[in-house]
Amino acid sequence: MATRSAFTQWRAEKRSWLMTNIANRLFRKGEGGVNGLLRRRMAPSRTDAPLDPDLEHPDLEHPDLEHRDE
Amino acid sequence: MSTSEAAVDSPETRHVVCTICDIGCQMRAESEDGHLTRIRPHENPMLAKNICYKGTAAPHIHNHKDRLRRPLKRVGERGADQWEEISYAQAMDEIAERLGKVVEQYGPEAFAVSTSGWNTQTTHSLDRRFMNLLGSPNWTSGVSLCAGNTAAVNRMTYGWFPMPDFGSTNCIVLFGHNPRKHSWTPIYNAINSARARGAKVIVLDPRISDQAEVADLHLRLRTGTDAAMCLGWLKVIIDEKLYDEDFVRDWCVGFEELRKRVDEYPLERVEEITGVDRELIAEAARVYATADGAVIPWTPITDQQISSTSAIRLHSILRALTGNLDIVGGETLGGFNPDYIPESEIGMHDAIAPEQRAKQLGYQDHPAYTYRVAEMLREPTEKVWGYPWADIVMGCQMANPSDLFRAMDTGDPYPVKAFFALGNNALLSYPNQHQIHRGMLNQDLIVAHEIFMTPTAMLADYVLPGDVFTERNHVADSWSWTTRLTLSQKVVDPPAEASSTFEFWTDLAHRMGFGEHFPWKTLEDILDYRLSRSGRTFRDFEAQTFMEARPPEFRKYRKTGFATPSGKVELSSSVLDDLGFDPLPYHREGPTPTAEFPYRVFTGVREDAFFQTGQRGVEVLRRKSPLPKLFLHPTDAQVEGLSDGDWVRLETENGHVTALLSVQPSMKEGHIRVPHGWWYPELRGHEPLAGAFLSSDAVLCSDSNDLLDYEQGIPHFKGFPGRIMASEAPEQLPRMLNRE
Repeated sequence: MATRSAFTQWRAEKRSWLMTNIANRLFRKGEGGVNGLLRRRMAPSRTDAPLDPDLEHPDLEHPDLEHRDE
Repeated sequence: MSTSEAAVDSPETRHVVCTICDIGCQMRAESEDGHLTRIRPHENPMLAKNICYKGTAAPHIHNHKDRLRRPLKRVGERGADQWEEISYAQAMDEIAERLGKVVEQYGPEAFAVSTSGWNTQTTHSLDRRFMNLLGSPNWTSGVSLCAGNTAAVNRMTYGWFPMPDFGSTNCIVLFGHNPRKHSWTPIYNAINSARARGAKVIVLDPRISDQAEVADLHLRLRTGTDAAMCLGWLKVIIDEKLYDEDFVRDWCVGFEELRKRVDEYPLERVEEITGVDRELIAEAARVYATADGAVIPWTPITDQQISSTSAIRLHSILRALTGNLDIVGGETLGGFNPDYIPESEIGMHDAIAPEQRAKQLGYQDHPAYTYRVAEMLREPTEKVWGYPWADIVMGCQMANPSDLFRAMDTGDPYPVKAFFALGNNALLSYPNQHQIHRGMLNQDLIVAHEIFMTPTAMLADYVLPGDVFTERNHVADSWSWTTRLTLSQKVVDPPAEASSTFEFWTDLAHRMGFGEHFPWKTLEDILDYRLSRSGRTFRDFEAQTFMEARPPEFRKYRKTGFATPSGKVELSSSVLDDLGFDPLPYHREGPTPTAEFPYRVFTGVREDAFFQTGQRGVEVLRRKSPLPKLFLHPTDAQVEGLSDGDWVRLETENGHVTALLSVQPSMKEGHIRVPHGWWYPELRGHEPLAGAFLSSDAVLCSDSNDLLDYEQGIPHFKGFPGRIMASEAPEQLPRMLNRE
């Protein structure tokens, strides 16, 4: 098997620990936080654009909403 | 129920965890005037790609005209689909009274539950708590055939069910698993990201699947031979000393016994069993073993074979021998999240008397995922992970479904007379559908808790309308498989008479006299309780984050050992040995095709448009896959005189189905692939149980004892004999094709 050196392993573990902490920050709420920055900078281009056509259901958009008052 | 205004983009947008399938993608849900209108990707770029067309169809599902909205009580013959509407309170009063009579007459073990946590989501193990307080061990679920059983078998080897570190791995091995853009989407995205980093992908699949088309290595093994393939890999890895000698010396027991067993599988023999060239087998083993971090993600394929326990154990052994356990880029042993009280504690597994636990169906003959093994692992589990019971993926102390439905049908070894199906279309979800049907006809009380009328619900005495993920708050924890907590917010109100499974079990417990053990009045109350050890409430969590994970710790076993009886990785399993089974993995041949039944049939295959037996009545999804299709290789089609698009009849010794034929060059010759879970909601009122026996794969597979995996009692879904022939189009076809 490929054996990493103790230092390489240590570095990989620290990197993984750091990445998880960064991810936790990215998922935190609040406009002042990293997530807010991401939302302001990236959302228009990445997630507020029209959906991938594969994800749309245009032929029957909300066909059953007349039943929603049940 | 109010939602936090501070936590959302606008009053009309909330963040939800989709439960249309079992992956749990995070998305945004929009509402107008109190009604769900649209699903969009999560705005966080790290999550935005994790969405499929089933998820965006949620408004079509949740607002559907056929959604159940009132409790129903049966008025005709069982299965006649004739009902009267009653109030929720009346239904619960009557259910409690009738369940009490069954328990009084037959004992608490005569009460059984089959459920799907993916669909119900908010049970919080209150079903187990209720049953344990009542004294019934007979809880089962689809996870007994899929992931839950894998978790239980993994625990026998190293005490937990590991999660692949896709983000850092350099090699991914997919045993028949085929994540796609619209099925297991986050896994598909994670594999693509790893591949873009340069990770190798090895696919073992009889078909040229989507993943196989782009794999670095594709091994087209004969279906049902995964255990033999793994033994071949181990032969290469041990002979060429590609294993982690330090880890094996310090942290494994049974290596010499394993080596002897592996020597029984030279590559010539493995080639003969699997049909894969020995050089390719050796090359794949080397790529896996020499990668700097490699993973074998969970796969439903090895869950459902006659050698399932051995195949799952062999995956575990490969991880351990190559030093890929609990390392970066390998597979991590997460343990319980200390910030969230696990279902294992809420379930109160100590409340049921040991002699009642021992009555669990499957406990004697097929104990691998029953209370019997959980009891054997209780002490080391508490020592290492802090809790005596581990309901990982809900699945480590379950009744065996085949034994359960046999007891419901025949009364052997004792009668089961009350059956509850919650978010679970049980009739089509387990093998030997005819036996399940007979068992359900033999019940004194059946309760279904569902969002649509299913064939299973049609057989019930009471049908209670359930809620859906946009109608409730939740903090999802992957059922202890990961340490990740994700937020799901209520978007709209459920129908007035609908209930969550939390409400169902709480209300029933109060009526049955043990309400003091169900102190939570609302879903938010129990979420507050589960978060209490982190010093937060649900509202705090909702205001703080969409998702959080515990920072990983690696090689934790150096401090605690492994949660096995020996404290080490058990290559030779002391648990299996103590139970009288072979402690070492082996290949067992499945049933051989005959002149009469010349093909190998494999079932349980998921289609993009549906999750298990669901969504056939949802127009926007059904249009993507209007009818069930069997897949056959062109050469076989030619031999049978069949063409693409023909109606065909597939027969096995257990039953037959009718479907369309799809001739696919990607299929392996001699094999027939059958999709899972087909029935026809549009045939309700025209065909018994809405055509539940026309095309359902559950009628094909036998669960007779000689065809079960020994240790778990898992049927052989992957390669049982069958034959195929031309068929007339079903008489029901005009109705099926003209659904409006």
